[in-house]
Amino acid sequence: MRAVLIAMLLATNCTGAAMAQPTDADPALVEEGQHVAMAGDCAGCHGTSLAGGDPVASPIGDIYASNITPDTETGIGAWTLAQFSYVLRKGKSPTGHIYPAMPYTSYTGLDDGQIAALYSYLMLGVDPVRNVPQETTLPFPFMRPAMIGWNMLFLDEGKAVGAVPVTDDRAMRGRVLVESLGHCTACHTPRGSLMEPLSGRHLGGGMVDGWWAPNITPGEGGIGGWSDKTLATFLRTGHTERAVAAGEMGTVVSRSLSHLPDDDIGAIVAYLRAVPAVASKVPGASASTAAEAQAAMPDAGLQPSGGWQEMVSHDTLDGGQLYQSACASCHGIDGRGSRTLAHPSLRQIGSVTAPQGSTLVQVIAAGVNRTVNGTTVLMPGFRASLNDAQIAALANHVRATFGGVSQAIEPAQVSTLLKGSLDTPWLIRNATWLAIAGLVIAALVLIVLIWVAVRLWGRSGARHA
Amino acid sequence: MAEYDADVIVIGSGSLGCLAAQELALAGRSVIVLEAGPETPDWKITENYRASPRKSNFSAPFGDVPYAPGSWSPGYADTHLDGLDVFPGTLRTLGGTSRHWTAATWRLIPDDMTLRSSYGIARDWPFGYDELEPWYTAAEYEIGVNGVPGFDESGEGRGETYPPRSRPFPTPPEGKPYAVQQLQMQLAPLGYRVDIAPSSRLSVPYDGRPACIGNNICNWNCPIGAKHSGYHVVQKIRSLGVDVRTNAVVDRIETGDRRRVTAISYLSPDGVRTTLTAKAFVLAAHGFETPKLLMMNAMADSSGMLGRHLMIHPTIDMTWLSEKPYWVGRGQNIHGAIMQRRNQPDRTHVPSTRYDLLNGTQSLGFAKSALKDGKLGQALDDDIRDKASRAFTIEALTEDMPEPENRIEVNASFRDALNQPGISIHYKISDYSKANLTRLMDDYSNFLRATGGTRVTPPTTFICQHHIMGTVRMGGDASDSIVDRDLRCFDHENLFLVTTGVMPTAAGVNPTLTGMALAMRAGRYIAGTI
Repeated sequence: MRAVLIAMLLATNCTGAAMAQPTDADPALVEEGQHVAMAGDCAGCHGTSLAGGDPVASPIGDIYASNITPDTETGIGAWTLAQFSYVLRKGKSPTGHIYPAMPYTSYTGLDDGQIAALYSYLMLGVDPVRNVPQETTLPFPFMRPAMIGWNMLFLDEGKAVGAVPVTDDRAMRGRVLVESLGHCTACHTPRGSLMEPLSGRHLGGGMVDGWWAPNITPGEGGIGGWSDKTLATFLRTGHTERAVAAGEMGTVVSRSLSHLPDDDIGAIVAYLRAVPAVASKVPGASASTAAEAQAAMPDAGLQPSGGWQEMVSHDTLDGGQLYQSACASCHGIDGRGSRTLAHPSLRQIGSVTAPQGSTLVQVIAAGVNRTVNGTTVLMPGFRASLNDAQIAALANHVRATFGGVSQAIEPAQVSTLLKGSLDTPWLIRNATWLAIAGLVIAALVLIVLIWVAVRLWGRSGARHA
Repeated sequence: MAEYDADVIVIGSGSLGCLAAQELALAGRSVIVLEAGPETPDWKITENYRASPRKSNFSAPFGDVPYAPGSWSPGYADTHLDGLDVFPGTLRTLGGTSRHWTAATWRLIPDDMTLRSSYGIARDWPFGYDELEPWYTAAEYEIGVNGVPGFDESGEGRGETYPPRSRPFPTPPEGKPYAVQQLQMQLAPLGYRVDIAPSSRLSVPYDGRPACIGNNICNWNCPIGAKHSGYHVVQKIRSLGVDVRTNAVVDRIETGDRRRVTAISYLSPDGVRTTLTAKAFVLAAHGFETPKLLMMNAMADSSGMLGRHLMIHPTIDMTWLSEKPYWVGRGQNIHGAIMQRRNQPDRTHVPSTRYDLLNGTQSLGFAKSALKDGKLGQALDDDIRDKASRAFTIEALTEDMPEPENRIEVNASFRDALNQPGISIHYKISDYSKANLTRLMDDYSNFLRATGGTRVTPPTTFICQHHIMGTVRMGGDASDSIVDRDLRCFDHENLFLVTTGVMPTAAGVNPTLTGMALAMRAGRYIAGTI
């Protein structure tokens, strides 16, 4: 492949094409750079063509990833290696500050060689695509220059946020993959009042766009109890008896993790064993109720059919009835899934007991649609055929019956979760009026100061006169 | 106020109506789809099926809705069937009758569309296979048809893909069930080839639908959506901004100067009337309801052919018990088919016939007969297990000729909750259709001989398929046809009929895929005219 690329370069040069070639890009690094791009999951946000992808949801508003193909006008084709490196390490591109939805607080941990390789791949190994993605417009006061202050507070240049020291080579490789390239912390660490990752709860689980990104530390509620094999299988395929990758994690597995060599997967597992344990609480769950649920056989919910009105009405809030009609055909009347667990057992899968029922609610609504190495895993979503109250009733039935979780989800919570607007920090939620209030106060102070200054000047002037 | 309520109004939300609506919406036209029946989601139909004691009735899980009765609702159809035992079941529900279809997705072969020029019988279609081919492919990719690469559908043993196709099947075939493997081995020595039928039951996830996991209640309504139904297209057109209205029973079509439809109006279940205008109208209300609605409004019938030439694929089946179990029920409803009688030289006087290897479990039928024999408890269970595992049914689906006396009419003696009439069905099996009986008896006795089977039900009674063709037939001449090659009514220039009722001849295969191809083609055409 490299030979072909070099040949293409030469051909381009021979035809005397006017296209400028980035002088800092090294054809020998292209293959390595492709691996870096894969592990960094650039495609997760920038799209499979890297010319801009789906919006990245944030509590402030949708953020649109830019075109990072080497197109000179709409992409990054005109950037030098130094400019490229500056973006990854300091969060500022030639056109201005970028938002930390692009995880430069993680990428900042990359070394010069990795950045040069990534740069070479993006410049030489990716087809230029002419595309101007939608402009990101966040409400006042979150303009791009505001990131200068944010970076001063939260960017630790040269060190990936949350990375911990490890000694053996395998875990060190894993640290690069988890903390720098994989930027796992972007979702799995909860955020504080200024959207900064909470360092004390690094990788301890967070809410993102209405989904629960689980605790991936060895602590309680985390992955300490998972075997290396299960963890590796999950990372490679997104499918184990304990968890199924859906939503954003489905994209991560599909576009990034499933393409990594086994050594890298092993390294990720090794590093995740070494990160500080964080406990995450699962509300309402207790070992004893879970055990009771294991033994219980749910009511099959069959009732003789009544008149036609009863047959066409579909507003029941009986969670058991909804489960048996909408879910049991695949997950079984007892929730144990299919024999191969291709259809997961709801008694084993972690998302059933995730905080606030978030993942369960999201999966009921949107389903799962993940393609890994050409094989698609698909569960249909039920957003079109169940209302919020029914989704709540169904989720409560599944959580109580198969997960032993007694805490109920309210219909209003379902709509909030599906809007993705949960857990926005107070400061962020109220930032607009706070900023306006701040400006008004500042203006008043200024007026007072000017008045005082004028008075003082007037006095001194009078004295001179 | 806008000049029209929509660019196009589609009456009927089945697969065909929705596919036409989808083409129109994709071309940027504003569309309203009107459905007489209610919206009942798939999960509710699953629940109704499980709870229903009427397990052998495909329509039962949808309920007898008094303001939108189907053909099997009591009293609705006044039947004159000349010994035919079952008549087609139609549904009025969001998604249409495809909510309970078998999902067999055959193409016509070129000869099927040129019976007059090829065999001197019936009539030719106003266009040939080549014109329909791209739309067959579009329809197959829309619904995710599975099929064997290189399949020859003609039964002629051509050894290559036939009819010609511009793209391969979009999804791979299902694994071959044990029963089909057994029958292939048993029947091959007598020269019968068991082919694998194409189907829209998914073998792999496709277009947001999951792969089949073998719930084995295909016909009543797939509980997981692995089998295509019009209800899937409803979800898709809703996301394209199509205004889909349920419980909207269209009864009046206004034609002003007769040449153009100016408005249609519908009743809500409580009798409130709404009138809508559009540039063009699509009647996609099934092969029964479409002509009925035109008759109720005394229109589209200058040829005198409205509702006539009804074809419904007379079918005669045989069930036998073999020595060893077949374990039927794994794999799609019709997994194997013997196509060799589809297009033989004697089609001049013997109809095209296809043998379907029916793959449904027969526990219910055997339970009934065991109960009649007084078996109870363990003896009952043992008897059902034993017989259901060893039983097999083959059906012979037979081409019928377009005969003007076979027809549907308005049945004014029935009145539904909105005072709307039912239908009368007149059908007599023609001599042409019966002309295959001699060969059919030979074939059936060969099947018994080859499998060592004991006959359970002999092939004595004709039923029919749920396939309605011919009632609003397409042709090149306004004097003997209802619609032209673009499915436009000869009598009303902005009215299009999208139903398998336009098919001028029936061939010997399920018509739904052909109807879908015609619907998509019509949708694209209509978008270009307004």
